[in-house]
Amino acid sequence: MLVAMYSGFVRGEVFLHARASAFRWLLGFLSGSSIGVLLGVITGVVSSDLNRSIQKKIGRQVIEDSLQFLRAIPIIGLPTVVIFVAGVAEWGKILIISWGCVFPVWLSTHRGLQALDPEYSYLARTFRLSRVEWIAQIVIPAVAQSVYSGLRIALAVGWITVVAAEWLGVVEDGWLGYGLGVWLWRSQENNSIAECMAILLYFGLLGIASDNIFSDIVRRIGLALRFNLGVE
Amino acid sequence: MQPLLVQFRGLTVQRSQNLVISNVDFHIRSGEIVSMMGPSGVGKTTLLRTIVGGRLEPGSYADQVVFRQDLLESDTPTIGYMPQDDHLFPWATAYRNIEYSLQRERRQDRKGRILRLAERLGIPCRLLERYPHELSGGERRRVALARAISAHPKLLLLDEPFSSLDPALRITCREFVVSELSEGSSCLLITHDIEEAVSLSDRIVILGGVPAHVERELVVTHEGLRGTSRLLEEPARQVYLEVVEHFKAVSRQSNFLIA
Repeated sequence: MLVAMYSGFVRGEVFLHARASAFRWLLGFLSGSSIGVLLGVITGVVSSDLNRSIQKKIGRQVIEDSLQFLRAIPIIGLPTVVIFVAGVAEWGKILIISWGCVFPVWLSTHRGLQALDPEYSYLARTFRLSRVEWIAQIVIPAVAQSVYSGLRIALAVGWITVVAAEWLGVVEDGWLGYGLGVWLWRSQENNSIAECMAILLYFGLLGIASDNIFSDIVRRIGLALRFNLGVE
Repeated sequence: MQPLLVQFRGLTVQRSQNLVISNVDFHIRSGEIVSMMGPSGVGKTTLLRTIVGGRLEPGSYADQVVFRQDLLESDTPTIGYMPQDDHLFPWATAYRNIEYSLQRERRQDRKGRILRLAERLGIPCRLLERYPHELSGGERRRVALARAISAHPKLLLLDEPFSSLDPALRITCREFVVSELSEGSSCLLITHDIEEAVSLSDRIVILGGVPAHVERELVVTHEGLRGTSRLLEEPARQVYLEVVEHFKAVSRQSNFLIA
C-alpha cells in the first residue's frame, strides 16, 4: 500500500487526480454549505422558540419532518438517478457533493438559531441596536460556533461524496478528466487492492489538510473581528 | 413627589395559556430604587422583562401603561439590564461585553469609562481581555453589572445581581450601584435577600400567589444612608422585621419552616 502511495506520488498521478477532485469538492462544498446556511436561517427563524403560536408550531413540525426526510435519502444512491439526468457532466457530480454538504450545515444553522437565547434580544433592546446591528453583532456570532461545527462535518462529508460523484465517470479530456474517485473505481476494476487503499489514504490526507486550512481561516476571521468562534 | 418613569395599571401576563401575573399595579418614579421580592417562580423576572421591552409583549395586557417619553425615544441606551444568569456574550471578551452598551459613545470615550468601571468593581485590567468562560462566577457578575450600568441608564433593571458574590464583594457592588446611579436615575432590583432589599431600596414590592399579584408594598426611610448597612437603625429595622414576618407567615402557610 505504501509502495502504491509512493509510486502514485512520484509519478505525479495523485496530483492530477487530487486537483480535479479538489475542484469538484470545493464547488460542491461552497454551493452546498451556502444553501445549507440559507435554508437553516429560513427554517431556524420560522421555527424559533421566540415564536410560539399554534401556526408556528405546525410550521416547525413540517420543517423538522421535511429536513429529516431529505436527510435520510442515501447520498450513495444519488448517482443512479443523477446519471440519467446529467450523464457525466460536471454539474451532476457537483450536485451530488453539494447535496451531501447541505444537510450538516442546514441542521447546525437551524439548531443554532433555535437555541438563540431569548435574553439576548432583551439585552439588544437595551443597547439600542438596530435590526442590522442585532444580526451582525449578536445573532451571527451567537450562531457562528454551531455553523462552524456543521461546516466541518460538511467538509468531511464532501470528500466522502466525491467518491460517489466520480462514480458517474468523466470525459477523458483536459484536467477534469481525472479524479481520485475515478482512479479508485479503475483500481478496483483492475483488482489493485494496494492502490485502492493508497487512494483512500490520500482522501484521508486531503480531509486533514482541508479541515486544518478551514479552521485556520475561521480562526483568522475570529481574530480580525475579535470574536471567539470556539476554534482551538 | 418625583415624576413617574414607568407605570402599569392592571398588568396581566399570560404565557402558554397560563396566567402568570394578574392585575398588578406597579410604578417606578425618577430617582427611586424599588426592590421586588417573592417566592421563586412567582413572576418577578416576567414583570421585569415587560419593562425591558419598553412595550407590552404578546400575551400581556394592561389597563394603563406609561413609559416616560425620553426612556423610549432616545438613541442612546436609557435602560440598563442585568439578567439573572449574567448572560455575557461568550464570543466576546469582558471588555467587548461592556462595550456593547457604549456603542453610541465615541470610541475614545469608551475605553476610559470601561477602565474606570473595572477599577471601581475590582476587575483587574488583564481580566478584561479574557472571555467569559475564563472568568469566575463573581468576575462574570461584576462584568455583567458594569455592562448594565456603563451607559448611565435612566432605569437600571437588576435580576438577582449579587446572588453569587462573597459578602465583601456584595457590599462593594451595592455601594457601587448606589453611587453610579446618576441624579434622577431609578433602579428595579429583584432579590431574595431581605437585608439587601432594605438597605438599598426606597420601596419594597412583594409579589405572591398564583397568578402573581402584589401582596405587600413597604416604604423604607433612608435618612441619607442608602446602600450602607443600617439594619440596626430605626426605622429601616422595622421594615426589615416586617418583611421577615411576612415571609415567615407565607412559609407557614406553605408548610415550610423558618428558624
